[in-house]
Amino acid sequence: MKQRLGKLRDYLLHDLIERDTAVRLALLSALAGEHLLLIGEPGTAKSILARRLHLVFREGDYFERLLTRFTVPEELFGPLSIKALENDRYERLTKCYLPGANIAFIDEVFKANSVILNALLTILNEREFDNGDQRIKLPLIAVIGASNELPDNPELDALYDRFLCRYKVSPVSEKAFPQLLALSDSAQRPVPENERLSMQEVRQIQQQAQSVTLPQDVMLLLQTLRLYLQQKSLYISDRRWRKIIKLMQVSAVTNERTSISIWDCWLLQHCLWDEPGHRKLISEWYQSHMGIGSGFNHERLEKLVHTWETTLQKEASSTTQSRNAAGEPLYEDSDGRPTTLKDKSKVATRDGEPLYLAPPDEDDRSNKGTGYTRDELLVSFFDDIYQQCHINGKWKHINAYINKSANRLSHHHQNTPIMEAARYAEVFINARSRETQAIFDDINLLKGKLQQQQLSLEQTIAEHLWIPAAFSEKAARSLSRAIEAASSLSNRMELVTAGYSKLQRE
Amino acid sequence: MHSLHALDQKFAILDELPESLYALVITHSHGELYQRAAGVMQWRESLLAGELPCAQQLSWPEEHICLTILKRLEALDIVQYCHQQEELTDSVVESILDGVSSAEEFSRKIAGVDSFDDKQAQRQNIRDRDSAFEDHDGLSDHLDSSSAASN
Repeated sequence: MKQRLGKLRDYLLHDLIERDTAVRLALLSALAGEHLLLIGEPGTAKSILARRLHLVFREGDYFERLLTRFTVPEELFGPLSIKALENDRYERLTKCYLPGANIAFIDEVFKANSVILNALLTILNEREFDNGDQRIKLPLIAVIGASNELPDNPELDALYDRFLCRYKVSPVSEKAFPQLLALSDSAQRPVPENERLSMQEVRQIQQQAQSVTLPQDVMLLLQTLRLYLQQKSLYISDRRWRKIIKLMQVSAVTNERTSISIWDCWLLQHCLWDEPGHRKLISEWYQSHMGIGSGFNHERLEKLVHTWETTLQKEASSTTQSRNAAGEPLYEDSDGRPTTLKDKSKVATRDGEPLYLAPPDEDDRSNKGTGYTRDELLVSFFDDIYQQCHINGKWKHINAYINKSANRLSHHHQNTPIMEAARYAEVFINARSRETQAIFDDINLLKGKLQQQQLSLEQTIAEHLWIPAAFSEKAARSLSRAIEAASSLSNRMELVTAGYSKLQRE
Repeated sequence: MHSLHALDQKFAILDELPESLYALVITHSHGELYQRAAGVMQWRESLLAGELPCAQQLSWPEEHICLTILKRLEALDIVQYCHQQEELTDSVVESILDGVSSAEEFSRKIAGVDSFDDKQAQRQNIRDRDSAFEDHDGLSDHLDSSSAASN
């Protein structure tokens, strides 16, 4: 059946440009017994799509009508039967009208006036029609509604809600425009009779879909999405959620699966929006959930790993002053020997002769660091006869002056601290290792999840009937990039953890 | 089992950290990273609102350290000045991070002693003020345990 449905889908797609998603949604929603709404400008192949969809089914009639504000019920539901009126019965002749069709295309559906709205709602929802005093079951499979604009009248909200799948049809892009111009007007390929679907087969698909299971991961995804939509003030009715499950069950069963896959949830973006802008929001959320598109926030983890790399580098290159066994800090003296002295004074000499400071009342006692020899002192500051100088109110002989160590010129040598790599407490290293290991584990967990996602993508989506190939390819590329980035981050974090285990211990 | 999205959400809390606190929170040694980041943001949010956070609702740090810090902040009476003052608030949060490190180190050093008494908080000159924090152990001399508990 999957192969056959694929053929039918391709038949619908033939010569339609950039209508891939619309076609897939049309066929899937018809199989699920749901209605599709196409929003878009006139001349965007909306009615062609509906006409082709009708040809996919073996039995049943096709009905098409453009509504205006002045459309009367007769145009949609059929004229009143004169014969029945003669017999005092108010009945319509529904054959060849909406109640008699299996596929219907209603253009400008939101132009429906209140006279026909109630009957239309019943037809769409219950697939029943009140004809006179009888409520009749209709053969309707699906209605494709079309409109240029969204409904702006609250009265139409109920009608809008009846369309489970919604799709905005745009004119073909600039890129595909030449292809559109080159299209031949050759007749549409006929659908081989044996490929067409009978009503019984449609019912069978819907019946089988009922036993398709809803796995935990899909359940979680839907719960999370509902919360997200609530945060964005988007209300989705309980009925719509139920119908979405039904649609995804049909998606699963037609793809020969017994449970819904998270990839079937791709369809959600076409079922949950009220305004076209919301579709993008939901699509981005979905892609993020699936680890594609913006789903794997590489920058966030990059910053985290980089922070740890910088911290490790700082801590590993951090130095501390060496200490002796007694715990005293060690310095290197002018001869390169270790010492506990912070600085050392050395008596200054010139050509072996000791040097002295000028008397205290001089501004520059050191003579700009060159000092004075005994003879220079004598000549400059002491009298020639008694060899004395008046210092602090007393006469002082040069010999007494130079014998005082405070008057000697000495050079101070600041010993250099001996540095060594900082040592860290065992408990510090263990804490750092634990912390970085936890991040490494998280990144690896993420990488594993991305790989699982990639595998699931390959298994589920490759031949998916309802997801366009463009999405599968984009998802595959995006997942590959994410896995590559996660691997690189994981390797870097592993190096950080290893770096911490190599820190010097106290 | 974490879904990819749940995992992504777990990492997302890190985006909320202000730049000035990012590295400090990431490389802090107390508690688990994501809980720590969420806890720091709780502190920050309360301080920016000019209020002390509720100890029971804080996800970080451990309760005994948390209470000590709350008592200290109450004693310092600084919280009112943090109202809508991001720079001051982040500086206070930075001090909280330092304080937690010190408290953790102290607790480690006195391993075996299961309580951490903040004598400094007790010494604060706040006898005339009531405290919102219960002090069952009577550690803070400015508190009347019975009246605080009934508040």
